[in-house]
Amino acid sequence: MSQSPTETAIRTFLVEDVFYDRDLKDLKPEDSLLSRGLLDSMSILKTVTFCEEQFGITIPDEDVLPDNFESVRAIAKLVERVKGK
Amino acid sequence: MHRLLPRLVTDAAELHPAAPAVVLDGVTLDYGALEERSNRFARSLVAHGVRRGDRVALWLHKSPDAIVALYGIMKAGAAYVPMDPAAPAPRLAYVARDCQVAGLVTISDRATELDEAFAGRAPMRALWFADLADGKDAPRVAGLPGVPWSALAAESGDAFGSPALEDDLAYILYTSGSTGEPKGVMLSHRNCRVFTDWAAETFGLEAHDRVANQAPFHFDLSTFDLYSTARAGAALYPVSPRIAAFPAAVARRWAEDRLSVWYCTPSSLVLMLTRGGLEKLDLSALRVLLFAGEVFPNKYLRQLMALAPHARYANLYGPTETNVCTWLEVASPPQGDLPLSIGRACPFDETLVLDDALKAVPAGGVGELWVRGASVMQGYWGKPERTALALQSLDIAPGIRDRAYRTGDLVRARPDGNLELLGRRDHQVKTRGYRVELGEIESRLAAHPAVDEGVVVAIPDDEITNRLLAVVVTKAGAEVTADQLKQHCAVTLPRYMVPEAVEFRASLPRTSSGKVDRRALADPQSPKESR
Repeated sequence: MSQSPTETAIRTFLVEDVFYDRDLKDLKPEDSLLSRGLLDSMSILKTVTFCEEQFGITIPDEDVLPDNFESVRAIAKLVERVKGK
Repeated sequence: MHRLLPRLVTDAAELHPAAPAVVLDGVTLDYGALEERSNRFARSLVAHGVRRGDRVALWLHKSPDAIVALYGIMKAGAAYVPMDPAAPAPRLAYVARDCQVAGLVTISDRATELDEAFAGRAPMRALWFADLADGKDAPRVAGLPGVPWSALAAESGDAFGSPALEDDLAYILYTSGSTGEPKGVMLSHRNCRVFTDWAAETFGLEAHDRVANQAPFHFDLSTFDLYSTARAGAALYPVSPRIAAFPAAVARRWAEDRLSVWYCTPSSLVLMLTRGGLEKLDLSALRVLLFAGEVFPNKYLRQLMALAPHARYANLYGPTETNVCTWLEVASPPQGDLPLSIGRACPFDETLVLDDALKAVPAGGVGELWVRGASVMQGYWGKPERTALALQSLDIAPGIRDRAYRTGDLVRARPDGNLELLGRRDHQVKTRGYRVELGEIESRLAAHPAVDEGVVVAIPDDEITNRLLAVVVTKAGAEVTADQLKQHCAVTLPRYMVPEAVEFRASLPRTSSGKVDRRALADPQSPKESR
């Protein structure tokens, strides 16, 4: 499956700025970030801030939940949903 | 041995074997099963040569089996050494070698990194893989046999007579060390039980309680969760690793599960308040809320107490070396800005406020807090010099001497006798409830070939107590980016110790005595030079 521009932007941010200590060049949009224990609370806050600035949106606190951060694809879906509101 | 920690489970299993001991992600382990499985695991450890006085490390996420493992290790007479599941493999390897572990409990996904980190030379006799429950073969690490969890079925689950005594080590908790290496705090069964028994009684834990477990097992807050709960025969609800990083998800789960006892760091409670939607949840089941590890900002504590006014609140204080040693019942929301005190000594300990000459300061004076009593650690593993500095023999009263622990915390007794925390004597800080020696991060920074000088400062933060900022001067002609330095730190340091930001400067500000002026660096108003 190809990547949407939103997915590409989120993936690049995660690989370069959040998982700088790991080699995740092969991270796919559908790969689970949670089952691999990649996201801690600090990384989640950074990712939320990035998405808000990059896409000009405000992600409500009650949407910062595991299902919405399962993968790059899930985060992109959340961004699109919030944008559409 | 009636006062060993695993005895708590044995007793609970005798009284009510079908009562839930651990509930996690829809899986319930009852006391009968916890007792039986930890007996099986103790026998498996012994069969692979683990003996009384040995150490066995745990490197895996929370699960009912992780709890089976720590009780099994103690039953076998060994001490468990819980490692941060998110810590890099080289740190695990350092700790495993430092305290010469006889065994390691982990999961099979970790086998490759472990094999690399140990590079063919590991101190263990065997490794256990807690995820291999279906008869799959276990991988080999550094040429050592791997034992799949399914092999425990072959061991007997009958009562296991532990060879341990109450003053044997129950666990070793590694904390940040100022000289660049983590140090292992050695705690005995007795050290732990004086606190966990007292806490279970003081806060009235009963079999029908549902106790939250947020703290990871390498963090001493977890000892209340594990052992005060077991003493009451109550149910422990460890936070699912999947949701642990999401304050909104944790708060919602705890409200839905109607947990009655919570023990957390102020950082995690504040995040639930500010980002977790706590105000919309039904907190009617919450009966006891305990916090420790940091100062709770008054404005947030007031908010929290307004949301659950029926609950009982207490501020617990104590470094890992003493577990909890003082406490304050917070009967009503704090007024004004005066920080919450840390209260008075728990009945099993005694506090001393001393000057540099180790004499008691006059009433109301500022001094360093020393602690003596039954919860004080046995020392740092393999570090007699560090132990001798931290544990010293003092005059407690005329003609009476005892060993006391030097906390490094500056305190003052208020007129009501409660102790007020005023700061540190050294460069230890708290971030998200974790205790961090800035020197450990600095020595890692200094190990980078491009770094001439690096200092880490703590920038105060409302929600997580402190953020870490590295200020670095590079060597002439050397090039390095902030990301490269963070990567370099993350190779050996846990993530919470990796500085969030790196600032490059041409030189570091100095005080008149030539020391680095940390205060100026931590001040957001101070002029910054660009490279």
